[in-house]
Amino acid sequence: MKDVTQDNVRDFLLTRYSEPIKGMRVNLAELPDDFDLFLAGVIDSLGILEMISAIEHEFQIKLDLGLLDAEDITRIGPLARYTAENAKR
Amino acid sequence: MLWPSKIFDAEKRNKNATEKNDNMSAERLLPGLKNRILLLLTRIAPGATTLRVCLNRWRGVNIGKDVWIGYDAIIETSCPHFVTIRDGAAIGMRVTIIAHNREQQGVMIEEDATLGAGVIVLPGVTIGRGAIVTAGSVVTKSVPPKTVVQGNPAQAIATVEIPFGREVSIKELAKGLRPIRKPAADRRPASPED
Repeated sequence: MKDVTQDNVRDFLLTRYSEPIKGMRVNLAELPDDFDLFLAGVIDSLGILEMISAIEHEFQIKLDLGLLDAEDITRIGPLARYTAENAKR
Repeated sequence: MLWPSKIFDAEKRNKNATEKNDNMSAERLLPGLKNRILLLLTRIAPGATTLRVCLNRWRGVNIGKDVWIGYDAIIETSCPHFVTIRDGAAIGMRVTIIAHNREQQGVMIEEDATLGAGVIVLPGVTIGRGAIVTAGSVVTKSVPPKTVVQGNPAQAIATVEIPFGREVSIKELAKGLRPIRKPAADRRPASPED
């Protein structure tokens, strides 16, 4: 079972969405912390639901998004940070 | 081309059939023409919350307050009075609502329900309060309140905490979505042997 750290969650998201991000000719290594997967067109509205479910499944956690700012739900850095701090097993 | 007398005969027959079938299947000629012209206008007119809504009310669709109707939506052809759209509901672009067939009649879109673009709704269906139908889905059975459905036939995929009102952002909506877990066997991708 993977540790729920900010880096692990970020790596998981970058791996999961590497193809569409590369398709935008953006270097994964230089992706800014506030890169927004939704606004960039990497995921759609239902993709947000699938992404949260995928994180929960990958790390075997339950994620309560109640305290997360809605704007941050699709930003890689803030989401990874929130997940690492609020994950419940 | 039909002669006028034939047209009126046909209209008389239609009227009798209408009475017999309790306004179910037959459509009288002149009201039908008026209905179809209004339907064409509703499809192309501007004004998702104003003119399109007003024209559909004139056709006979039962529409509440603050309803949003997208471009080119077809809300039942011959029996618009079989459709009820309650307050705050949103009907996306190119939605098709079919409200009658031989045995079934009526479609109810409840308060704050949202139908995405290109959705098809079949007769006898109720879309529950605050429910969301994703774009391109075909709704063959009623949708419970606060449920997201997707696909053909539309299946429940998530529950939603807040209705998708026009002041709610997609991110705020997504934050309140919770997936509906299916049994593991249901999630197995179909293999070519299936």
